[in-house]
Amino acid sequence: MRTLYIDLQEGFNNDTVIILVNGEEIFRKDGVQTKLLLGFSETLSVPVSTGEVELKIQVPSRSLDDEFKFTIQKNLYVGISITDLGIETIVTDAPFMYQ
Amino acid sequence: MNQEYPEGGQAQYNPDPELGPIPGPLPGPFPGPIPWPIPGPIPDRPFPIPFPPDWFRCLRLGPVSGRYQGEMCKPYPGRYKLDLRVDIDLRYPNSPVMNRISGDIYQLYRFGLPGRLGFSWSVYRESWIVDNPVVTWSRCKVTITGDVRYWKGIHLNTTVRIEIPWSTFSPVGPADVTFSVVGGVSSTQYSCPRQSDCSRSMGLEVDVCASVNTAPLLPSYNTHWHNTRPADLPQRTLNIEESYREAGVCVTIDPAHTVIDDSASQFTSWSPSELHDAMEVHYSQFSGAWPKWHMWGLLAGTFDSPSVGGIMFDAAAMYGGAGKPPERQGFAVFRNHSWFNNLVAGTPANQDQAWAMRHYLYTWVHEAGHAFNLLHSWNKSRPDSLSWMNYDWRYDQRNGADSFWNNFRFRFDDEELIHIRHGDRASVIMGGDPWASGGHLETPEGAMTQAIENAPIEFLLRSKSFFGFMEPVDVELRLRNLLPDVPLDVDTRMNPEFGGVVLYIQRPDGRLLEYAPVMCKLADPMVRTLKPASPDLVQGEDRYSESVFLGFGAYGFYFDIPGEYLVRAVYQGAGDVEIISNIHRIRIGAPVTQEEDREAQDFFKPEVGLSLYLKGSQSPFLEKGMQVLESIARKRGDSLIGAKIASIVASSVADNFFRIQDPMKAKLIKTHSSDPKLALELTSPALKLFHREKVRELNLLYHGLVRERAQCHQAAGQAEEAKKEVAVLRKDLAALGVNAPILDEIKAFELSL
Repeated sequence: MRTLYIDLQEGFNNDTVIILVNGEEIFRKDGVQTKLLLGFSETLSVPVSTGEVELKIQVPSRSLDDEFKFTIQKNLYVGISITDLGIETIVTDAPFMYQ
Repeated sequence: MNQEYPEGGQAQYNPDPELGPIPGPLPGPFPGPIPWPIPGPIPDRPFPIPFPPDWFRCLRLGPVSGRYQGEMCKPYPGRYKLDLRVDIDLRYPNSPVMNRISGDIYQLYRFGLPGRLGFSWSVYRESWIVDNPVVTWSRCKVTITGDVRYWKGIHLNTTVRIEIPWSTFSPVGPADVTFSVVGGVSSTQYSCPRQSDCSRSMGLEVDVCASVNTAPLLPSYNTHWHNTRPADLPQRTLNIEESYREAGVCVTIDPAHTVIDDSASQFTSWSPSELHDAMEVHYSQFSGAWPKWHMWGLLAGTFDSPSVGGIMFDAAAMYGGAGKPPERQGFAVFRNHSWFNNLVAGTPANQDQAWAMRHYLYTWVHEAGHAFNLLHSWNKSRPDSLSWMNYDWRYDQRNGADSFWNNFRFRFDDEELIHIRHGDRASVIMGGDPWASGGHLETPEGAMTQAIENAPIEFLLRSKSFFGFMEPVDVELRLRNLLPDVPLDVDTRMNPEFGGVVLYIQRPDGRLLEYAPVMCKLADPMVRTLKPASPDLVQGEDRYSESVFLGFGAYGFYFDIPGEYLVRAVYQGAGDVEIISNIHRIRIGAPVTQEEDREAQDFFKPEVGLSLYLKGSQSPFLEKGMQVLESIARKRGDSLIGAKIASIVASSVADNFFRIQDPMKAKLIKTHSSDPKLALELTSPALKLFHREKVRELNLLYHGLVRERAQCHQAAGQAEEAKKEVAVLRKDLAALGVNAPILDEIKAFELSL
């Protein structure tokens, strides 16, 4: 088993966010707000099996949704931000750090 | 023709002393070898005069850039002070030149006392910047001109001309500064001796949690320790002081560090609120006057979110901060963050240790940068900025792995340097504008006025800290003589209607407004003598208070939405006295019931506001407003809102009212006869409430109500009742610690009834 870490980062402004991993809802929250001081809002983690993982992000307050597929061999870190272009992700194998 | 070389003299070479530009700047800081700037072409002269005979003139020591400060010379000598920042040549190694000029203007006050040293204090007025200075170098001076841009307020187009001379082996300066209004004849001049090569100076107090109190406490990093760096990166040792010195700020770190015991058994990590609380307890400067050029840094263990290596916690809660203004006074670095696992004191033995120290330095400088009101680079639409304020991983995501550290030169970007060095004072200084607010852009002129030293008079603004929704907001303004041995005559007309006091109100949405009274009054000053605060003084004789209604003014209701407000007042006394009050916090509550919420619809109307402002009115034009007030007074007579409104309604009921009913006849006739019994009936619940509550902040209102009721009692032929109520008032106020002179005054009033 590996762990998928998901950070809700920039661009969230009192939004409702729903996250599904492999079809299962793992997160739902209203009022998600990016802390401008740090550049993130929430950090969550979910255990996943190695192999392909499907990540769906829905932001109904903005009528946005998107899905991403990753192949996981080791722990993976995904940063999700809302930009002018919609939902964007940063994927890395090192933890995100903030200051 | 150079007059220093008379014709026929031995040295006939007459160089133009003003020929420029001068090669340079000369390197600094000194001492060091001084290269000779050759002033113009070398004449073809035989030995022994290979150089012009005046080669020794105007050998400039050091850069011109830096901070200068001095007083006004014309038209009002000594009335104003200018803090000037010049940024046109290299002032310090690795310190980029921003080619800007800026300044802060202060008004100087002096309070002379015969036979003794007077008082002086300065009041900050405003800041300005020259974005595109024109710089002309000469051999013995530099001339800088440009258009002045003020950060706030309305100004006529203004230009500035600055001349900074130098002579051999003398410090550069003073800067002679002339402001001229374009198209006008007025100009102001200052003479400003040089103070520093930095644009700003700041103090930093650092405290440390016991759990992480091991070296290195503060960072020190040689820029060549880690191999991932620009190939041409200058090698130097950077710590917090040096990093900010390169940015143009001279930072002095207090060598004393308080060790905070964080060993409580269930304590594991810090929240923003806890960090702010720790700052309030341990920061030695916290309780002093703000804003100021000072900040607090805490080396702590772990933040609530372990991924956070540092935080400037002193910002609004919505941004992730503690939410307690004034902001930007402190920050924290979390030593237990994984970034610092390999942190060692001294020279690192490997690249991992070098990485850790580099990141340690980075975190300290970055968090202090937030306290200067800097946002992250990408939040300023500069995601590719190679700045202390960017995240390396964010930059790398856009530009490739390791690209940030391969290109970062350990500096702020140009816009950030311009902000730090030349920004509007309020938006840079700690405890000034809220973080990320931009609020200074909307600030009324004078609102950020800040007294710098202590004046001889205290101007206090206070009230209850909480007002119910729709409750009329009154504040107490108090003048107090702080001198131990000199009585002071002051104009005690403090209502803003007379123009001597200006009030500023910051609303919950952050907007800063100047309170505008409905009417302006022109009157003789009401001068009172405040006795000196000597040990044998009867307390109360050194002060004077007045209650001022702020709820409604020329532009409507000022406290009509629930939330936190900040209020400040400026007193402009006779002569040349300006005293700034404290900043006072008021919270306005939300509607408690649905009915109250519905009442707001009728309450927040101009006719109600004006009725409150006028302390009631029997004019038919305000009849609807008065009906709303009377309804509230009767329904809520046993509440503070009801009590206050009842007092206002009763005030108009108890008086005759005259008006011109027929405009064709233009004759005043009485349309309302004084009804003291109705006024007494309306305010009877209010009297009981004030007597029952006995709250110090309501003293002035209680006192005022009883006096009004006493007059009503007298008018109704009930003088004995009046005496009883005044006696009870005196007893209640004595129990609340009201000063003897006031109690004596009340006693005298009682006896007069």
